[in-house]
Amino acid sequence: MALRIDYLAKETGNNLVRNPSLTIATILTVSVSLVLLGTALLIRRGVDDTNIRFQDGVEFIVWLAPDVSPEQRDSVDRALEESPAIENHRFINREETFQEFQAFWENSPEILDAVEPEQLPTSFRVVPVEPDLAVVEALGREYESLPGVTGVDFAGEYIRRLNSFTDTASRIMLFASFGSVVASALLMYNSIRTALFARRREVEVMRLVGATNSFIRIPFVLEGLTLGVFGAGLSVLGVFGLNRVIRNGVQNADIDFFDGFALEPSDLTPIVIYLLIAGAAIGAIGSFVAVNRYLDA
Amino acid sequence: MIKLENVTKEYPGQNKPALHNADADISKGEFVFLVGPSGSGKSTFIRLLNKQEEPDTGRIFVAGKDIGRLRSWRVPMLRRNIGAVFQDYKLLPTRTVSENVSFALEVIGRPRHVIKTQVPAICDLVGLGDKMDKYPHQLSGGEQQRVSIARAFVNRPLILLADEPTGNLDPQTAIGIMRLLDRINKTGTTVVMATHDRGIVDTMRRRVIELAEGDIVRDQARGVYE
Repeated sequence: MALRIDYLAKETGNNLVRNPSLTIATILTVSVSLVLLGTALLIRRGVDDTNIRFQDGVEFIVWLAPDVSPEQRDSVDRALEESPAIENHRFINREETFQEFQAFWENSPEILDAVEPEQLPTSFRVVPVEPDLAVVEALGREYESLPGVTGVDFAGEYIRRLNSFTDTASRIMLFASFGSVVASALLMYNSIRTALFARRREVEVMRLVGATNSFIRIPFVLEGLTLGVFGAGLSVLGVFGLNRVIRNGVQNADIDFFDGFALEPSDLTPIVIYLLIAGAAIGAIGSFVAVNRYLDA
Repeated sequence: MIKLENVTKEYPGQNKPALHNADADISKGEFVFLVGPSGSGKSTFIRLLNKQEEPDTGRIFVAGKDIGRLRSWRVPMLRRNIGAVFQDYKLLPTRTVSENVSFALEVIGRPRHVIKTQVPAICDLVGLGDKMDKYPHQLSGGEQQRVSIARAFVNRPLILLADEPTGNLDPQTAIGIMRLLDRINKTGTTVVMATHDRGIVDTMRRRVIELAEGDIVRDQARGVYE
């Protein structure tokens, strides 16, 4: 027996407008919980992108004392040259260091005025073969104790700190979104239960005249599915809006570090798909459980 | 058409069974009154026939099939062959007369052209051809019961069950409803009607099955109320 599309559309539509406040509440709850989920996914994506960006060139900097002797400098240079774990290295002289310094502090002329190139330390920029943070760190430590070396800095340290922060943030958000997704599924369940209650006369008559179980149930499951997908649609708009805000923020910040968080709208496709699936699942599961529980055949 | 074999039905929390070792055999085309005071088991008898209730023991056959062995997805097919009419009509208040009747065909997936021809025909049959666009609250009790009969009969069932169909109606209106049920019976439909309307039973002189506290105490052809 074929279910008639126009019948289903009419019934589902009637159910949705029958109790507008509950319909709106359900859609909003689904969308808010999915915005949380979407934000968690967005941050995770940003962290992954940042990692990829920095893994290409993870480097450490071997700082030399300002009064380093040419012999000391050459021995450090040779040690770097001979290490098989190092891809390449580059000496940064005072002039280059000063230029970088100027670029970094360009908005603070009083600091620039107070510094002379002679006061700045020279350094080696090192690109290791293996980009793994732990390996890089162990490698860098080997050069810390060489004569004429004042210290070793790791670009990775900042990434790691940033990542551990954003990682924690996205975990917390994922956890919160899990809670609110459960809440929205429960609200969905109650919303469908209310719809069943409002239509109990129809359901009774349908049973008496011999409508099949699926015929009775499908409009209610479809109602849940519609609510879930509507909510997911709203959350997609929310996530796009949020991404736009982050993008503008990152691009105005002038710090390359966060560029991984500036996602193109097209990068969001997987997240959009996840959210729509999650919304449909909330609707289908919530309504399916309600229908099975209250339309026991 | 309908056969009960040693059927017992007990409701939880009640010390007496609603129906006790009931045996009955109703042929195709018969008109049967179920009589007896409230709580004697009339409604249970009716509700067992279209599987709104399950018996605790015993077997029930409808059209030759043991409905206790019917798979649950087949139950709707059973009910399509059994029309049901109630004291409280069970009409949908937001639907017109014709919508109430066509609802019964829509939800079992009948094609639209069938609905278009069947619904006006059945509304004429029950005498409501000119009130098809009225809502239930615009109709009298007797008219509402006619709508409910139209809905039960529009799919041409083999059996029509009626649980106190005249219970809310005045005697004059009740006679009209009985004429309608009699007419439906004459088309070959088996009618089983629970009632405690003495006047109707005594006038119609059909088969009477009398129940008392769950027991069948009398089964009489062309019987009277008591």
